[in-house]
Amino acid sequence: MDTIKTYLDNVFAAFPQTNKVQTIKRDMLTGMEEKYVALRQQGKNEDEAVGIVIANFGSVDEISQELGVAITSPQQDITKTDDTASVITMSLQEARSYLSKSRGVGYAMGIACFMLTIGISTALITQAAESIGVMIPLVIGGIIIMLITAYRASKDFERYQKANISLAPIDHMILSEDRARFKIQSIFIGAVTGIAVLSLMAVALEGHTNIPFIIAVGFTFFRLPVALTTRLGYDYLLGNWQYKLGRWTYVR
Amino acid sequence: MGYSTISSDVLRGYIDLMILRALSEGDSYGYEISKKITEISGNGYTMKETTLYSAFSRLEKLGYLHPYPGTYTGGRERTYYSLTTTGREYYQRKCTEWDLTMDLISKFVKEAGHGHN
Repeated sequence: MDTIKTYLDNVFAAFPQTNKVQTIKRDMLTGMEEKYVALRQQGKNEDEAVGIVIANFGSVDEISQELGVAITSPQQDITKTDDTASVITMSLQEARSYLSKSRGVGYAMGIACFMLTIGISTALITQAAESIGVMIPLVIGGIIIMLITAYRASKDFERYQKANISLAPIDHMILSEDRARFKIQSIFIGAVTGIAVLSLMAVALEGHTNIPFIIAVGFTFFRLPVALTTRLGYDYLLGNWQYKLGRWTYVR
Repeated sequence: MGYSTISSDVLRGYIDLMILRALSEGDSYGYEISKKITEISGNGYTMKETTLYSAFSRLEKLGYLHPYPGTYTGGRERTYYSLTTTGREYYQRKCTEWDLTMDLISKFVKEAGHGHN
């Protein structure tokens, strides 16, 4: 049900907050929530019920015309903020594919970090002469993967660099919820990484060799770039958003 | 029933009639009115929220609806509407107008039908 409230908050964000607007918004929220409850009682699941309620919302223009509220046209505003910027309209599917592409860069970087961690920590912990055959290919391989990934990413993401992204309000909301869930995960990953770094230092100082431990630390460092690129992806999609005429538009 | 294929331009002129009809049996509020409209339509038509609530505002300004605040379980407020006398008269006028419209348009529909036969 929070989704319905957030949806209405977004829709009415561009309206002047007069008493009239607030009353209409309140009555609409009550009505939509009642419809939601009725649909749930008919056996619809949460997503279906929210989907039906929002699909029956209609068009904001009807409300703004009735209330005589002028909402600035998006074209005018985009020219104001940036003359050269193009607008990429994204569906939820496209936004998610953008995110998974961004996460893909993280995975490649993660593999590189994993190799570097194993290589360097093996070198730190054991005597260099014994492990040099393992260490050198891992470190060199890791660096090569990093360079290739960085180069490919800079080409792949070129078209997004200068463009403004436009998302429908409902898609913006769904992604915001995804981001909130992801944030909780990334706090956990951050904590685990911190502990791993401290442990690695402690073990390195004592000079023990513990292969499973090194692999566990390597895995932690693998997760780190994945979390970072996912976060950057969400920030890009949901970053500086302004609500204009029924759509969220990204403004740099 | 394929009511969803009716162009919204066609329905626009009769949104008020539907809402006034739903209120003709007694005072009501947003969701109940919406439910009533769906019911009367034989479950084939659901009015969009923005259509419904912008119509309330319009009909209120025209003096056909009288809004008053009410509360329901949970202590939350919502707006109830009652049909005014001028609202009832307006409803009657719209019904007559529809009869005439149907009478006029159906002549053309039938003529077209004969043309095919």
